[in-house]
Amino acid sequence: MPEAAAPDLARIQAAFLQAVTRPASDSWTRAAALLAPSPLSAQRRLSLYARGYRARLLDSLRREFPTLCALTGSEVFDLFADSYIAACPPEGPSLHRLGARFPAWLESIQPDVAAGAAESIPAQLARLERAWSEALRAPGPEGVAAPPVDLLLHPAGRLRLPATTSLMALDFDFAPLVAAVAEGRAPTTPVARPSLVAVARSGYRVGLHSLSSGRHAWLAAVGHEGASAMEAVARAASEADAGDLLADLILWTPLAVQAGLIIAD
Amino acid sequence: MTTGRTRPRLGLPHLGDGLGLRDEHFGHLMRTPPGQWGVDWFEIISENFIGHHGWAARVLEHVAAHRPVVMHGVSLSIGSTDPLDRAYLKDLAGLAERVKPAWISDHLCWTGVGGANSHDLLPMPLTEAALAHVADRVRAVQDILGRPLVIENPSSYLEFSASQMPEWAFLGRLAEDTGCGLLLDCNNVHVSAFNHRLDPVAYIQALPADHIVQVHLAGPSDCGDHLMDTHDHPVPDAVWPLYALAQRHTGGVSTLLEWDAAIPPYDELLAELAKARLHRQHREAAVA
Repeated sequence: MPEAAAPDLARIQAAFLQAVTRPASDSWTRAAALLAPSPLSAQRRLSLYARGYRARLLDSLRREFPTLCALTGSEVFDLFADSYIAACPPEGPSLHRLGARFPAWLESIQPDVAAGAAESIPAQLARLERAWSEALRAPGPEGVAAPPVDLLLHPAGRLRLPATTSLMALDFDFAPLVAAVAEGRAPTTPVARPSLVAVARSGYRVGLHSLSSGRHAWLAAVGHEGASAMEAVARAASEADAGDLLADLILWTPLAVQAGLIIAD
Repeated sequence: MTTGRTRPRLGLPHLGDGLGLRDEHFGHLMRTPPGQWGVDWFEIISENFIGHHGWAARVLEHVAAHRPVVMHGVSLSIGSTDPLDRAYLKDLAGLAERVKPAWISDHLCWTGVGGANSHDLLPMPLTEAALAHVADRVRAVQDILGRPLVIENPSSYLEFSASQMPEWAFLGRLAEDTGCGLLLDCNNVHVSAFNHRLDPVAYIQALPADHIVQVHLAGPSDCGDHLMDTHDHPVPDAVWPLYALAQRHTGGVSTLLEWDAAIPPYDELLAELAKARLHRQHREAAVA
């Protein structure tokens, strides 16, 4: 083929990627015209790449959102995932980024319903599972100096949440469901109940922690930017009686450190 | 463990026989003394460790302290007409700073254009213009990473009518033009040769032996009218003669067994890898 008549590399790649990621008759016709003869039909060869593309992305989302997949069943999950991939196709070299927008996308398609309505389960559960996935990869508390056990008696001592800690206010108690799926048991329907939780990592293991409103508010006041323990108590006190909160935190903070919820700043 | 080691190519060592480092074996490797790992080196998928600060990073740190590690990527997209992804290259260089790999490899392919990413190793039109384009980008990457890049032949399921040369000629000219290394994947040669009705022996014999620094072994899926590069089976009988040929052609280079799906227990991987040694010894005996 003369050089002048050869389609340039950019045009070939654009046409081929369109056929692989957006299979449709017109995109396949354009891409098929670029292929060399083969015993396999052009449609068959293009379908190998198109199916591989879909399978790879679906597999990535199923791995990242296993509880949602178990709860909805793989057929319904794949419908969500296919639609999401069409709306938010992957960009950049990391497959880990693929699922980043999945919770927000699920929220964007959910009907306008009251808090606790079953229609909001997928988006909230996906948010929880994305936080879990990020906690597995982010810089965590391992190897970082732990705060002293009596940290609340050191007013100047500063704390922060590691990147592996995420705080969430959810409309469902997902803990029994998460545990059931992790143990390979049949998924249970989550109970509608306001639920304050933290996802955190300790010893490279990620866990889900249920929190009282006072502890949740205190952790939020500590934040990822860090704060002194007592400043955080003062800021969180509007959520609970300051004296009761301080008494509770004195007992609880060693457990919070052990769970990887907080580290020394 | 490995006999008949040859002189370094492109300044890169002969590492012996290695395995891909996969999540499924992290527990085994952390529980088992390194002296009992049974392999000379490990290969990592670079993207699995870029930006990872969890258990995988801890395992890699431990493994890299006891064995040579090679970084094998799937996202360089060296053939894409998009600009080189400088952020990715920075991440790659950062990982290399941590891991100190023996070398860094990726594939002759492209993964996307226009900012979109297929997360697949898409085939190149093998044209003079594409060769010049890829060569420019290989040189740029080598300048950024400060080391020779090693490029692997991919499996493919179609060819473009615009192609002007066979894949082995493209790779050979690329290597000789840029000084890059080649990773000869014998399974990929087998897969592509079956799918495109090519002669796999001629393919291997035509590659410049002095640039081949590593060999890959893996098992594809037989789909009847085509082979699929799935890395989920033992190495098929048809690949072992190609492996023996590759070792004969090069005089002996590092061997790596890839297994990425339906991953068997570690001991089964070692048993599969041991077959490579037997095939190599058979070759050496035949030469003697």
